[in-house]
Amino acid sequence: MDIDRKLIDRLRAVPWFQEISLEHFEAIAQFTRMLDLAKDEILFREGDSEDYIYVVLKGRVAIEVNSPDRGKLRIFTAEALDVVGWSAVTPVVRQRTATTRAVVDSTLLSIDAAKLQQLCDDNCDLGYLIMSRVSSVIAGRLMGARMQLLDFYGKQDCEE
Amino acid sequence: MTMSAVEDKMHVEENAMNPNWAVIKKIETETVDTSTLWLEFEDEEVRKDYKYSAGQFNMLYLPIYGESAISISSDPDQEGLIGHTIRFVGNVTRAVSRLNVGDRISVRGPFGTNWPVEESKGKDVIIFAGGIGLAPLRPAIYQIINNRKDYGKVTIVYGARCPSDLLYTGEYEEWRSHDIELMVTVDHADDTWDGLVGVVPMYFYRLRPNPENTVLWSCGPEIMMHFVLYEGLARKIPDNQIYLSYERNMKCGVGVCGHCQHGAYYICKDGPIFTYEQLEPYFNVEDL
Repeated sequence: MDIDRKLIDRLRAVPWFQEISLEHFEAIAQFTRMLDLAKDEILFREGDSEDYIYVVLKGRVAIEVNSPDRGKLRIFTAEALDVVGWSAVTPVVRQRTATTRAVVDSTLLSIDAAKLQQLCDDNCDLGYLIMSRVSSVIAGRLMGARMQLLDFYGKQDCEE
Repeated sequence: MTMSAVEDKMHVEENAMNPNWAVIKKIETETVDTSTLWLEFEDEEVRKDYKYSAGQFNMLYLPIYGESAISISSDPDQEGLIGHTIRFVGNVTRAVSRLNVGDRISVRGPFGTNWPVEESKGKDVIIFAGGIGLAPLRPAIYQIINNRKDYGKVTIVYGARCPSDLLYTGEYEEWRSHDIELMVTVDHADDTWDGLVGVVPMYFYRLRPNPENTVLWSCGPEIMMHFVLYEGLARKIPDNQIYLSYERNMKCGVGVCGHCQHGAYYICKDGPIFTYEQLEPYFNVEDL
C-alpha cells in the first residue's frame, strides 16, 4: 500500500479525527487528497451530486444560496478545521443544496464520501466516531441556522 | 442610615435629576440609521467635573420629544468631547437624528454600573458584542488598549445583521494592532463581503478559554447574549465572571420610576451591567 505520510500527518492534525487509529488513518488517506482553491474558485455548486466531504485546512470558504429574487446570499463561512459538505455522508441527501466558493486562497482535505461511508459500515467503531463528529457538526450548523432565523438584530433593511 | 448620609443621597439624586446643556460639536455617521454625536457641556465647571466609567449611560433630553437613555461610547480616559452612538429608532432618537452640529441637547448622568475594567486586570478578556451593543463596550476597549499590558489575551467577537450595519469599521485595524484578536461577522452578506458569515455566539467554539482566568463581557440583543451566556457557561466560566449589559426600559436613570425593574433590580441604577450571578434567579423566567 502506497501511503502518503504527509497526508496522514495532515489528517491527524485535524481535531475532528482525534481518537482514530493509525490503521484507519491509513485507510482514510487512500481516498483523501489535498485540494488548493484560488480566491473565488468554486468548490461545488448547488445541484451537484454529493461526492466529497471537506475539511478546511487553510483560508476561508463561503456557503452561498442563490435566491431568484435576492441573488447570491452568503449564509456561512468556514475557516480552518471547519467541515464543509457534511451532507455527503448522510444517507438521504443526493445533491448539493448550496454553492461553496473560496473567499480567499484556501487549502482543503477532500475525502471521498462514498468510500468513507463504506469504511464506516465495515468498521463500526470507526463509524461511530465519524458519525458522532458529523452529528456534532450538524448540531452546530442547526444551532447557527436557528439563531439566524431568530434574527437577533430585528427588522432592518440592509444595504448589501 | 445617619441624617448626613440621607442628605448625601438626596444631594446625589437631586444632581442626578439636573440636566446640563451640551452642544453637538461633531456628528459621525456610522450606518444608515446610526450616528455618533460628540457633545461638549456648555458650562465650564460641568465640563471640568464630568467623569464617567466604561459602560455607563446618559439620559439625553430634547424638549417636546422627551428623554432617552444612551450609552457613552467615548474613551473615559480622554478629556474633551463625550461620544454617544445613537440608533435612530424611537421618537426621541429620531428627533435627535435631525439635529446638526452647533445644536444643543440636554444631558443627565452618567448613570449605571460599569464594565469591570479595573477588576479584570491580569485576566483574559472575551468580549461578545452585537449590533449597537458595541457602543457601550467601546469605552472599555479603549481602556484596555490604554493599559494593554495589564491584561492577558483579549478577544472581541462582533457581529451585525449585514456588513452595512457594522459600527466603527475604521477602528478595527487599530484595535488589532494592540494584540487584540477581533473577529467580525455578519448574519448574512452578498459576495462582495469577504469576512466571516455566521452568528456571533457560534464563534465561541473557536476560543479555548482558561475559565478561571477569563472574564466574559457581552452586550447586544438579549437573545444573542443568552446564547453567548450558554456558550460561556458550557466552558465553565464562573457566574461572577460573566457580565451582561441589560439595557431595558430605562426611563428615570435613578431607580425611582420603576419602568426598568427586573426582579430585585432596577436596571438603570443596579445595572445595566450585571454579573450572571446576579441575573441567574431571573433568567429564563417567562414574561420577565
